[in-house]
Amino acid sequence: MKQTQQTPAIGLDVGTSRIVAAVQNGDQFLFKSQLNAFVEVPWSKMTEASLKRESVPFVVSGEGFEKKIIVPGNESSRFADLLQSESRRPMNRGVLNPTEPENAIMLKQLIENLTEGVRSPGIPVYYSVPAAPLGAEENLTYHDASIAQILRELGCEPTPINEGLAVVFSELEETNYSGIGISFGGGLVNVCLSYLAVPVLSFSVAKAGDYIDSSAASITGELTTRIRLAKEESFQLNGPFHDKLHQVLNVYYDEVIRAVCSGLKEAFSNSRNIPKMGRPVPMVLSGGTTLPKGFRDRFEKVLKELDFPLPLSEIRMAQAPLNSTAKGALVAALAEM
Amino acid sequence: MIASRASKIEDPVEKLRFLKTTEKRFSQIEDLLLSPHFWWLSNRKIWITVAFLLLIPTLSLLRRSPLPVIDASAVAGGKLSTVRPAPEVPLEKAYLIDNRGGVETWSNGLHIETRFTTSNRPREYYVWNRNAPQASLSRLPSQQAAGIVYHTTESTLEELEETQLRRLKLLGESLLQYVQKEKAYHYVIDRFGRVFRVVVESDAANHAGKSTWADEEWAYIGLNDSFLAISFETQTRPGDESPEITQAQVDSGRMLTRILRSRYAIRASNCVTHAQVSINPSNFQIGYHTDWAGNFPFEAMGLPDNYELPLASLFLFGFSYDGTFFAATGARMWKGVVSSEDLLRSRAGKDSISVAQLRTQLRNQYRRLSALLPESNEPAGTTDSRASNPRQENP
Repeated sequence: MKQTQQTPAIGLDVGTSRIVAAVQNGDQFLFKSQLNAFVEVPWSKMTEASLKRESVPFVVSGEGFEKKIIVPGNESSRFADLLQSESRRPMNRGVLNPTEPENAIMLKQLIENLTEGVRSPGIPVYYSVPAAPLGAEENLTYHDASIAQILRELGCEPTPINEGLAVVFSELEETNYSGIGISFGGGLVNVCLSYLAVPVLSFSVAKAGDYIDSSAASITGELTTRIRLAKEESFQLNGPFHDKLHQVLNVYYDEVIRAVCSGLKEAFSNSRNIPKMGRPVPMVLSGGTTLPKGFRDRFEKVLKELDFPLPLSEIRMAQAPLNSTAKGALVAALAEM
Repeated sequence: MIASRASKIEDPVEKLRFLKTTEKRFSQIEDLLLSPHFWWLSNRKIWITVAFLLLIPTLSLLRRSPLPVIDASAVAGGKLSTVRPAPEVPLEKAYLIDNRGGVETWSNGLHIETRFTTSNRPREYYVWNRNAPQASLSRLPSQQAAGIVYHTTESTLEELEETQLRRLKLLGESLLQYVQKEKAYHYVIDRFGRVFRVVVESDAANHAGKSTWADEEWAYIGLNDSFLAISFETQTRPGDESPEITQAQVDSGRMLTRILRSRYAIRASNCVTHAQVSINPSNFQIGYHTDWAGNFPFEAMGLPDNYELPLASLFLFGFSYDGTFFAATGARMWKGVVSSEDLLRSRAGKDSISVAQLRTQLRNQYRRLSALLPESNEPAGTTDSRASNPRQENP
């Protein structure tokens, strides 16, 4: 992230799959992202030297026989593939992974790497947090507090922002921040209906990108890391499907889309808080799971089949699906200054 | 309004900042309203009262220009040429072309039925020269009418349908008999637009009771003698902006107004509604009667919007008004009230006295002048004998 001017604030998308940081440079927004994952490599002098030679960021942890090298972020995927092992995830289903003992440490490492050079003492950082899952009152306090603590330790002033609302702030400026923002992440799909920048209804659906990866992996026998790579690099929802992996991905994509659309219909039909919007509102889709070609069309088709209760003016993709949450968080931070 | 303002902001951060600030303000107001210490803020009646109090100065800022406002110096005794915004256009002369079978036919096509015509005491009225405030009342050399007051009969109405014809006719006949007996109006226009002359034009009718009006030269106290009365068979809903008379009544009213103005050289500014002239001297409040308080179709009668004219009762004789008056009147009437208040303030400022002191002086003036009126010009009670019901006073 080339930075010529000191950014007044940082927007941080703390996603299950990726962490994205957004900063302001003059009139522009700049983005930097890291996979929210890491791999452990047994320590050896040769491995450490080669990682240094290749400029791969790593951390050496432990002593003696316990000594290991941890490769966090983007390189973790390549190393996992090389080592034929699964990368480890600090987060799961949108929150800190309770089965990962190194979750907070690795998350701090990743955020530190991402914000290096743009962080200054007391800088406001707006970070994304998920909404409670539909139909459940999941306690997100621990996750929220943990991220805030990490950011404070890094000298920042943290403020949480709903992930779906961040998408609205990023994409729906033309409608005065009225509309529906949906972030299809790795662990969760976050939805927020906003009216004039006020979040009216927000919830999450617990079927997202990771569900597709793990389900496809269990059917095909592939590693989820490879499934994710295949999904992001070559898969498209409008076919044709030449191999089993793509056929399976198609099935699970369809399942996730249907689950989200059903959740949307249920939430919007049952909510009593939805104001009269006056006119149809736009719906914007963002997040890594929306990247395959044909996603928007498939989503629109399913939503129409289900007779969604709120009049929509359009369903469109975010301008930069991987960056919109971080951008929205930054916009929110700047608006408070 | 918020969305409209936000749409004009191009910078996305600025736009969000604006919306968030607005949201915070609304939240603060909401919190305040929910606070037990500020229960009164959520009381609707209190807000209505506050809105009423704020409305008067607001209206004075928003009024149209040029305004038919009398210059303060003119009120104090100088020229009064600014009362009316436009010069009078001479009206085409109207004349009687036929009179047979109890129906007069006039040159503009109006038919006037005369079978209910009756006489009353001959017209005789006194006026006060506004340009000579210390002067006494004068009897005008001419005994012709100086203006027209429009009324509503406030009588029982029936659905205007062919199936109800018999009932409609019965109601109309009863009304005319009552008006004839009470000598209440010079003319009644029924719902079919038929025009009935009741009291002859040369006589006074008991239509306005305690009332005042003023034109550029003269102030009139007690309009029974000085003004003609045209009453429309209808009921006026207070504050209703749309006219509640039929198109036939509008058409006839326009033709009758034209005939009367043509015959007696009546100025357009002297064609006013009962609500504009009605007063209650016992408490010095205006609007004792509120018929045509805000929805009279002046324009359809071929007249300017005379609701904009200042009320003589307020600016010449120190009368005032209360919330009940506002509740009974429409927004159009307030324009005249506001311009009257402006005149009062202006004159008080010029005389270096408070508005309250000026009002006291003007009320004394009214008492002095009304005491000089002959008994026939000044009915004893505060009510007139016509059909409409007076507004209830505040306790």
